[in-house]
Amino acid sequence: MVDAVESTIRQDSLAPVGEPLDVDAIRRDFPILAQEINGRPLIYLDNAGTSQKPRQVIQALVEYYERDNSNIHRANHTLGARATEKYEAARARAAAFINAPDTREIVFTRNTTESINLVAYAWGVANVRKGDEIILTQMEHHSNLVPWQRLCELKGAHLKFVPLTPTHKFDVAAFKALLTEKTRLVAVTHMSNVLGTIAPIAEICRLAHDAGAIVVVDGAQSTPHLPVDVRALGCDFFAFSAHKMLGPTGVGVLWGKLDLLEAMPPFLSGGSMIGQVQWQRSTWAPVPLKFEAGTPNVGDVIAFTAALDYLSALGMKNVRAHERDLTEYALHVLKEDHPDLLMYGPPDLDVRGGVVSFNMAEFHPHPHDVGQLLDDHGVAVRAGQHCCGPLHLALGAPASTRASFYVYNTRADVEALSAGLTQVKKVFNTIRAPRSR
Amino acid sequence: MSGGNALYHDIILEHYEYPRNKGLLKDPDATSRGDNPSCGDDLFVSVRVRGDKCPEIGWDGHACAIGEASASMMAQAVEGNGAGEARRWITTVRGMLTGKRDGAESGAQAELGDLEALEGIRNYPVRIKCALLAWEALDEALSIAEGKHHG
Repeated sequence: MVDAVESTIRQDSLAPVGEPLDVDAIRRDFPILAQEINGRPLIYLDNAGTSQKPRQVIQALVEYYERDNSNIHRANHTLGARATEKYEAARARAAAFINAPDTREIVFTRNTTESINLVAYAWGVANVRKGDEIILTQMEHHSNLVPWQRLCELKGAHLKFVPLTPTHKFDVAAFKALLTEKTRLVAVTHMSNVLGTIAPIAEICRLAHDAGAIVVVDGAQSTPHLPVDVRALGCDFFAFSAHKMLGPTGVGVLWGKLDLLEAMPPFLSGGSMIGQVQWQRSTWAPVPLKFEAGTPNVGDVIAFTAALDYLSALGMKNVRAHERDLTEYALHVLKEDHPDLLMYGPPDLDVRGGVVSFNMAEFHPHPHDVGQLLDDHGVAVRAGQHCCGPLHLALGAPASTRASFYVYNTRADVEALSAGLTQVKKVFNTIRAPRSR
Repeated sequence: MSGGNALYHDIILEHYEYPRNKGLLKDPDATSRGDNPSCGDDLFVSVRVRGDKCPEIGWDGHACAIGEASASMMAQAVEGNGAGEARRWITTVRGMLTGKRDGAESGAQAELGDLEALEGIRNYPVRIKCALLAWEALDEALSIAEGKHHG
């Protein structure tokens, strides 16, 4: 298992590998963190929801709109050329970040959800047939579940689900048993947004390819936190979002193997994605423009470059090590301070990212109440089902409270979370005797 | 007030811990479900609209403290006071929570009683739907039950 994770690590980072992050310096780059919430310093632990943005990214947005703003791929004035050049540079930067073999394999979308829908509708509609099977896991986010449900409805295909092991790992043996000659596609999250579980993607791809299926990876949670190398992973499509990795909202990426992308019909159609347009029919632009209909989110895509530069300067291996340390500390402190907590996710940190979801004993109080009261102490966590309804059914939990870490979090943040939980318990224990029933 | 949070009023915590009318009626005229799928909240409200104690109310399910306390207070406020009065309570509470109308000024009821504790929720927009969950289910259950008897 360690090997599968380690094999995805790439040595292109600017930072010395194995160096601890200088969190004080990092925190100074995030203006939003220097505020108080309800009279307490903000402790931001909802990074699986979205990350905060460093001033380098905010400044890139300002510079773009103050200096370079123009539509791209068509204006022949200086601003148009500048904006186009920077937009295409962002594509090259994204390709390098995940070690994509070809820059044309990077398609910009709005978010991971749109990236997955693109595969479902463009590849899926053309290639999935009646009676085919699509394998997902029980830990998929709705964005990697609902598009496949719709594709199955459309084509008469069926969904099958890889269960979790008792320690919430990806169950390789169960996956092997689900693969058949009918398996057309496997869609799996690289890292669960609830459990933190890291799936053995390279192994999944080998098994799926042997069965004749392609593999779509939801990398929304992994790309911000782990070194990602799509060549080493061996998948066919890989989707992620800028906003969870220090970048702006409104930018998603779909990476796909060039031959697959070239063979696929378009997803959305209209301006920019065309070759020749006649009255009755049209031809398509080459990949990737074939999949980028209409004016894209130019400014945010360009500012995303600054986020990728920021992460590379830290070094993704160092980011992973930092979060691994925080997760280990969190699991230890929470168990120590709150032995009655119900904790989800693998205890094995080799296959666990920086996500800690839990419930109070017997699900009382409800995660909403926990989240609300933590906010009183400045601690921002997520409460609910985290877009994973069926997973919560499988866990036997109506909902959960989730803390998730990033580069600017510290051990003190973990301690603030634990202290906050003590306060939650206090509120729910200060109940007076029942009155008339 | 507990823990300095305006939301977790003692009255709310007390109803959460010692809920009134929890458990569905055995032979209801109607049962409705109120759920917030993204939160995992799922409440059922059953009613009987005939007899002296009309409407009789039972509720069950799982929600946050605000959702369950609101269901308990609802049962306490509306049971046995007639279906028309129950409707007026629904309007009052909806108005109070969405801020369209001040509960105290609504005039329909002289005394808000424990329901006054819900007023602070208005300042927490994401929690309003928690507090309204049971009331919306009651509204629907009453409509179904009344439709049965009139139809």
